[in-house]
Amino acid sequence: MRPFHLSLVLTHACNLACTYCCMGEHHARAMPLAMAERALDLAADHATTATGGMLDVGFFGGEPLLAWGTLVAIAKRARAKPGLLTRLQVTTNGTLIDDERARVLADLGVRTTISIDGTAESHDRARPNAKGRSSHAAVLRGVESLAHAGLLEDLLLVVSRANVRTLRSDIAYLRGLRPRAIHVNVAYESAFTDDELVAWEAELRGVAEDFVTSYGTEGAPRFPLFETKIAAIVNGGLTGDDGCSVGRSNVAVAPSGRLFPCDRLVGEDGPREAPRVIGHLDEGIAPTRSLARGTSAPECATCEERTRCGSHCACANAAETGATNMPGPVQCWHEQVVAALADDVAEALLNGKNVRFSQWLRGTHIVGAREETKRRLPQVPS
Amino acid sequence: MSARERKPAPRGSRIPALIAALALTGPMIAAADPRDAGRGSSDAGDASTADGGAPASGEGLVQIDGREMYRGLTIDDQPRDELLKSEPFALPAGAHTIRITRSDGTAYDVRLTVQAGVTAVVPRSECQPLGGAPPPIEPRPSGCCGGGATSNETAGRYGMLATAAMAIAVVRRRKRDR
Repeated sequence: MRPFHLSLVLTHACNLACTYCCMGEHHARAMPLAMAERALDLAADHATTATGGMLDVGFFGGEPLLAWGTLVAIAKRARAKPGLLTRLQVTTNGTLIDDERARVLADLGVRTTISIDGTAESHDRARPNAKGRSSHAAVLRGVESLAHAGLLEDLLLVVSRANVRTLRSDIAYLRGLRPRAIHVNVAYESAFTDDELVAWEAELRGVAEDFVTSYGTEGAPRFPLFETKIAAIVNGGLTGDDGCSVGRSNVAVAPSGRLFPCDRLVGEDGPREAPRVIGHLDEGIAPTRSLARGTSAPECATCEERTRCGSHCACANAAETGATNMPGPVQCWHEQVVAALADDVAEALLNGKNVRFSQWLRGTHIVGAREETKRRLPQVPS
Repeated sequence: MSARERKPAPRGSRIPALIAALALTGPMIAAADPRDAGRGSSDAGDASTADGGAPASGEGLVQIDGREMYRGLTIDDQPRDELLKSEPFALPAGAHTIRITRSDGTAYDVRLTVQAGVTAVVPRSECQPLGGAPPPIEPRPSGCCGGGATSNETAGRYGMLATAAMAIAVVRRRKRDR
């Protein structure tokens, strides 16, 4: 059973001006606290009956920490609800995190994902602040505060035209920050050139080499880009949180109250996004409309990588082709490149008799379950 | 392939064949890495790409094998049918009594000692006498049909694929021996 995932887009406003932002033009609309409370209460009721009380609440934006008061109030409210197994998470650019806020996030058990695109040079090409200046130093201060609070968990690097030629060094840089995991998303909206794709593949090959070299060393972060592909083979397909739950057990609430199947599809929440609206908070939290999902590309039916392909991700599909159920050619290419490299990684680590990898691989067949099992622990009789 | 067109991947992953080959040719872990000393070699906590999660300290995982044959589950006399599915579930370390009811209504008890950080596999009902409680069993690194629960080491040294590969090897050996 999947948890019910509620994503609250707390504000459209942002203090950065990322070149690939999927939320479009930033306007000042923020979610009223009463609306956020209502969304949480409805989601909690729904989770109680539909998912055994398992509830994920994600805070998204814009920059959600611009709505710090709302974030804290909702996190406290969620923690105060009895009988729920709640996971709280915020995706942030990190620039507004200081020691005090890091402590509050840690106290409330809010997991953090910080978006950072590598070295200062790479990062600032894609993620300048709203005045067009560097944001890298401010992000690093946030990273440092989280590290002090013991809360430095997930870093998120977005591949764009700004860092596609420096991916290896950018990921090595993030590894040096010693997070729990480094996630890689692709800005499929970007108009990558053929030359960039060639460079991208070469960089990924270097990333794979580095991953093999550092695997299992002290403090080496998890790297789901490859690990998910390897685990999917052992599991017979993507499982648990690896799969896309868009529009089923996943609902994003925009500041307007409109419901979307995923926070990344909210965009500007304007007329262009209207076809993706699946309901309104006034009608309840459950989707009243469905969304085309998965892949309808005929090539996918016979593809040998279909069980571990990211084409299930409606947002990635929509970013490149505009259709939530139609992956684009760059995504297809990327998925196959990464899958082949994941195989190379597995082969190198297996042949090298890497102890830590063998331990990890041995446990991957229960990876989806472990997540759920963990949430269920309070219900286990003692 | 060109990056500008969608094409089906012609071949699947090499990983299953690789794991199978390694499982058939000998143990993959040749020697323990001294740097791992004290970290718990059976630690399953590093396994998760999704969460990095593992049973909490003092917890172990239990997997009911052959679950499709069962229709009821109680743990320490409490009905826990919701756990009767493919995924393992966590229990506090210590002794537990698990009663499994088969689809034909017959039931049997397993007295299981859960060890922290270890996955215990409750074996298929064919391995157990029905209608009575078998002797207490301890998770141990051995095969299912020995009548005991198996540890994570055996649940498949490298997952279910390795288990399948070993089964294939046994069949092949029997054919060859004939």
